[in-house]
Amino acid sequence: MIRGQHHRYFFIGNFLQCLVQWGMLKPACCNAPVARFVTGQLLEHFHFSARVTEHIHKIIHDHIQIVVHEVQDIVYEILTRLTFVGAIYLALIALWAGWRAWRGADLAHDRWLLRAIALATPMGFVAVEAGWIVTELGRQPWVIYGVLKTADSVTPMPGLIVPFLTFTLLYCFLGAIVVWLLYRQILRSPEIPEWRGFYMPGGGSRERGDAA
Amino acid sequence: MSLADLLAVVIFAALNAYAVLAGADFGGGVWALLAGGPRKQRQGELIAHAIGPVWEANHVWLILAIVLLFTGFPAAFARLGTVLHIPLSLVLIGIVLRGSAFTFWRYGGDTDAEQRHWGVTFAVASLITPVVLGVTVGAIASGAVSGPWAPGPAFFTGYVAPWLTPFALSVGVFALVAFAFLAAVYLTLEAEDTALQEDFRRRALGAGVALFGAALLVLVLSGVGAGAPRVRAGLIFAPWAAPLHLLTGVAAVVALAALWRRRYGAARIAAACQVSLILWGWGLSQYPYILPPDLTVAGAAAPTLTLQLVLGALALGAVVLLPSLYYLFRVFKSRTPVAPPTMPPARPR
Repeated sequence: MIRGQHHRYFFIGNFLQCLVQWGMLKPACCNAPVARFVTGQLLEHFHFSARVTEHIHKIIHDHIQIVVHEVQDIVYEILTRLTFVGAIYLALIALWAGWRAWRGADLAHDRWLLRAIALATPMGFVAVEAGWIVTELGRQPWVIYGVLKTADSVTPMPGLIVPFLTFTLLYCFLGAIVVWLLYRQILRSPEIPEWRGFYMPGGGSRERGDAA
Repeated sequence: MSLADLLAVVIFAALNAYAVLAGADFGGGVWALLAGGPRKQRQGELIAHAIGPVWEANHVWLILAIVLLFTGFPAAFARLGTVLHIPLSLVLIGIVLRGSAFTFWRYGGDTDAEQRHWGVTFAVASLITPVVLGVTVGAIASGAVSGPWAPGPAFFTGYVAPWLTPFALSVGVFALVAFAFLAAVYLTLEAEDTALQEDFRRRALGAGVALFGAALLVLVLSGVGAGAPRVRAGLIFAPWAAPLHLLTGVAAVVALAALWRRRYGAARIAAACQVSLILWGWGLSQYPYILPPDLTVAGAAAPTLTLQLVLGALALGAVVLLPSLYYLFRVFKSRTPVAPPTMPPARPR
């Protein structure tokens, strides 16, 4: 058991070391109190020999700050790359549409092109939300980085769960209403029959195809 | 005048603009709720047509005041947000619901039962939000937003009692009547035909008279119980009090007389002046305190460097903001004859 734990931490340490050497992680200066705290927590649950303890502490001391900081960087990196993928996707759609137009196709009735464009619609929202999450979660436990802790800035008013739930439910409710209204106005609208054909199977597009 | 004073004046000017512009949008919602008579449908359409293009932009003044408050006077902002957590949350919910409901109501689709629900939500939120907004002003004026608060005050004494007072509630009623008065006066100018104009002229006259009653109620309650001793003393005994009351009185009488004689352009200016003067009376009466009884403008102010930077940024921002707002209002509110409003608006195709 102890041996297994030892190897696990040793493995994490080596893995991080490799990432640093490959240039995927930047070594950061270590926060000694954090390392002591984490080691202390570990020692409360597991009884290691003095030599193993020292080894664990050394690994944590060398890498804990890297983990704390670099996880945020990795998430940021992934999201940045996703944004890049999205941009490439849009560029490909534009190329595809340009090629189809050049070949004299009727873009407004090209079902697959329109589906691809529709698929791109939520990407902007996802990018905005992901960026928001990175900034808000990434600076925890600080609310103003390095100046004010979130825990120190919260209002002393008891029962904060009530406003939290109220605002959460309010915005869920409004979000649901927006989805419903969009559905009602666009998909179900009787006034714009030609819009329905694109989205509803067996809709107006076949008739239009016949007319063309 | 120190930098802190200057910033406080700017914040107050922003609140003033919010009251006479966005206040009238809230008032419009009140009249949508009270729409009646043979022209009920057209009253609602006129109100929606009048506030539709501007209600969102009008919130820029509240946002400006809040941002300047937390940048320039963080101590006051922290205390307001803590003690008045509940009414300020209610104001926020009211503003969110009103705006969403208005959008759903006007652009949601066909005029049917479902749409009418949103019309009612819009109107009710328009009714409640000004009251709660007035209650927060009343709580500040009464000196109840005081500190430093004990580490763990009981919930009621710490977070409800400061604003749930007769005086604060009377200020809430006053704010509601003032906003309704402004809206009715403005709507006389928006109306395209005489019948509709007369509807809102009658409403404006009624609200103008009610405003005197509400002001009297506030004055009486400021002396009852805890009341608002500092503001009351300022409004009665300060050297500037008499001229201010005289000016306010003149504006009020001119507004009502102009409405009576159907001089709607003059009535609009006089009514906006009247509400503004009342607001500045509140501000002057509690100066030098930003939150009476103990937090002064100078005491709550951020460091000088912050104030300098904020005022600089403000000057730069004004270069963009003011011409944009002027343009917006010129496009949508100029008196050039336009086609009568038809609702619901054309769908985007």
